[in-house]
Amino acid sequence: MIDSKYIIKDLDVSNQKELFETIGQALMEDKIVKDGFIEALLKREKEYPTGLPVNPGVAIPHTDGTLVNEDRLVFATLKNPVTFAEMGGSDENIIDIHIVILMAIKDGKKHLETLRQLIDSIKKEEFIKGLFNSKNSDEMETIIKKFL
Amino acid sequence: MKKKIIVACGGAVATSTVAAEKIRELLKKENIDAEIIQCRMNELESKKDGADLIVTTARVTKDFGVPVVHGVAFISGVNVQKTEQQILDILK
Repeated sequence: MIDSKYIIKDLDVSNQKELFETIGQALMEDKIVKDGFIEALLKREKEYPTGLPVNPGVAIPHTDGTLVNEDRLVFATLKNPVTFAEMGGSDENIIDIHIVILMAIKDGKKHLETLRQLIDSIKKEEFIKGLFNSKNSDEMETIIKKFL
Repeated sequence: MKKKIIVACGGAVATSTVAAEKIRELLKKENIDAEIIQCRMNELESKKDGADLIVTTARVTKDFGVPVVHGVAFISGVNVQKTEQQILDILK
């Protein structure tokens, strides 16, 4: 699930659409996800946003498993913050997101332990600040492997 | 009598799986016997019959006739105790 290729520092995108397109293209080229993944992400995000009010702003976009071929977690810190709506909130609750953890997962129950650790780690300042302050993707990878 | 709890989220992949697990632990600790079903938000209408509680990590705009607790706390870590108390108040 954790792949150095998908640990990205300072991803340079201007908005959510560009963010999903950039990551989605890479995943589709590697055949990790199927056609339609990007649109599904955008649609889901509009109806059921995934922004979390964890400093400095973390989002966990994902869709259901039908468009996923292989399980991958994509970690990206953003060069410039991108706005996401808050999970479970109303349209006015928007958050500036600096860290995106995109989950391309076929079957959530199969990865319960990893997902639990991931969600629990998001609440830990050491993990999120660690990712945010990493100098490069290798440092990010070290932190991710430490927590997951 | 066994309680029926539905945990719903936008994708039924990650967040509802984690929230369901945390609820399972909470109920075990409190000795509450319950069946926990995971589903997606758009399946709630068809699965709600007989449910004692719905916990969701997404925004709810409809009235399902079943008490709803917002479970985003299980994911963000903010206000977890308050959410757990809300769940226990409804089930006990």
